[in-house]
Amino acid sequence: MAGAYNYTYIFKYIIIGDMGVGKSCLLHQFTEQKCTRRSLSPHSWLIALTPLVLSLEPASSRHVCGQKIKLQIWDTAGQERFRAVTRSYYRGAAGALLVYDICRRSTYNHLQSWLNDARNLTNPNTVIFLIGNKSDLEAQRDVTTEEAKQFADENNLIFLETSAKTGANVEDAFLETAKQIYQNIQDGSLDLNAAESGVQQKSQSGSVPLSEKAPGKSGCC
Amino acid sequence: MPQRGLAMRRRTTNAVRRRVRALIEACDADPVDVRALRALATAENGFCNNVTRSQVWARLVGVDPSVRGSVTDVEVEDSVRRQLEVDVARSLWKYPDNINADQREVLRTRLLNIMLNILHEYPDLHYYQGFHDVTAVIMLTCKNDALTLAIMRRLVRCHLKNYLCSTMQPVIQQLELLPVLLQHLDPELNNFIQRAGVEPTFAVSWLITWFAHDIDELPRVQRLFDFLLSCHPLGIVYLIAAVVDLHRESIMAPDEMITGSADDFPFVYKRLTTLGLFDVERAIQTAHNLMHEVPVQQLYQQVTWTRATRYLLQASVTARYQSFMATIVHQPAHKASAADEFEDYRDAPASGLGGVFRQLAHETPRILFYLTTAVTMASTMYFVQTGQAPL
Repeated sequence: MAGAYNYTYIFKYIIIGDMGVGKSCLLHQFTEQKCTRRSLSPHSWLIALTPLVLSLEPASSRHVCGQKIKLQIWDTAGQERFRAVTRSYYRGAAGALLVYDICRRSTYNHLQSWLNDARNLTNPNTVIFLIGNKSDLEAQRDVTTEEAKQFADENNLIFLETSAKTGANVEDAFLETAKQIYQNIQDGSLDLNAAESGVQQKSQSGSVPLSEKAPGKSGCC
Repeated sequence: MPQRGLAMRRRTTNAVRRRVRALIEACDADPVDVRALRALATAENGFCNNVTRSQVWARLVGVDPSVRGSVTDVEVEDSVRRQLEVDVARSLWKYPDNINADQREVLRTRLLNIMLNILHEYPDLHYYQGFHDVTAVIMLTCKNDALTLAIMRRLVRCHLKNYLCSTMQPVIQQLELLPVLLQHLDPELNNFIQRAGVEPTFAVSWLITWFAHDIDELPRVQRLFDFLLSCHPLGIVYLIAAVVDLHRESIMAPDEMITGSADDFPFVYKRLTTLGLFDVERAIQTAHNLMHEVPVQQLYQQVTWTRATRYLLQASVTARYQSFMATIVHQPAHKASAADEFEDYRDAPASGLGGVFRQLAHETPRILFYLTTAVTMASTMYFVQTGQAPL
């Protein structure tokens, strides 16, 4: 892992939402710039989580305010029963991508419960980004943009509609979240010294690890 | 040289032939010689080829391998069907790899029908993502859907039952046995994982799919299934411990990012969940030996749960496996259908508090025995240590 320290910050992201809304596909589109059924096949659904580390370089087109930032992204399983397991990985997330399917109202209706989890299990400054995925399937739309926009405003979320298939807005969603986190650091609303800020900062003595604590011990009867 | 090659091949062929004969003999014995099959499952190459394999798998779970018939679509709850359809649509990508898109669709429909039948017959079971991975391996091996269905009927009542409950609690509890085994196998590695704060839930997909979701080559998965179908339902936890240990070098490899603290969590997690092309034979051998060194009963005693939880879980897992084994050993040979034997399983509850109580009532004599034993043991220990009678 040469050059592992070559960054200013590490931001931890989680991607959450119902099964089949395209969470893994969004991630795949962002990392590989493609998302076909075939390319996704081996990981088309993930029981647990895949931590994925990605660099945003100042020189590239993908950069956040000229900073060297690494994103550590945790894709989670959507099936309801796995939430008992995935919940313990929410802790210390700086950004949460909350995804629903614009063609399936049930996935939109469940947003509140996902949002509650995200709010309860992360810190108050965690940036939560609402994503209405599958915008390429306009004909099958079941949730209007206005309705979702209103939900986002009421709950203080940033909102975008994306298409993991065509790639529309996907990059923006990931980068906007990072920019928002960076802004929160800059204006001091995100305290890097607080436990579970979800951000690791590199200092001259090496890294100043702040966030990554073990997930909560899973209880047992 | 060609002659030597030929001789070698002949020797191999003879060895395979001998193995197949031994397998058939053990299957045809009345009752089925489970002990012999278990020994053959841990020997290199296990159940040899798919024809023999499907016969042995059937016998190991108490099913007549000659069962025939077609498996058709049945009614289930809409939400369940939808979920199954979504999962099936993205299944069977990795294998088989020598078929075209139409053939793959046919396989998917067959897989869907088998699972629909199971969930129709046992409405108390809760489908989980990953169940289709296990079913697909059995289906591709047996190449006979009626037989696959018969085998699955048995598995969902014993080996897979904990995974088909309404919650993940039984799965999490089962995974909590993993550190105990790792500690026994490799304390250094276990400490390393604990220091990074990685919970045993990292192995959840290995557990509930028996590695079918994470290994890309069907023959390797089948080989692991040979072992898992021949042993105690907790055999998978032993196998996971063995697999983790086989990856110890890559998990513990020094790196500037690894600091030996909880900050290592994402890196160690990633390494733990990245399976290399590990040697399945070695994994099976290690798991097999580990089962002798730390028997299932002993395993439960070392978990930091309350004593009552330990005894209850151990009692229920033991009781379930015992009744499962009883129906295998006492099945009449060459029975046309094994359906009658499922009746007692069909009544058994899958989950929920009501289910637990019903199961408790069902297993009261056995639990009383365990509790009495526990109290007696505790009293004896107290007496030995203090020289006074308790209370």
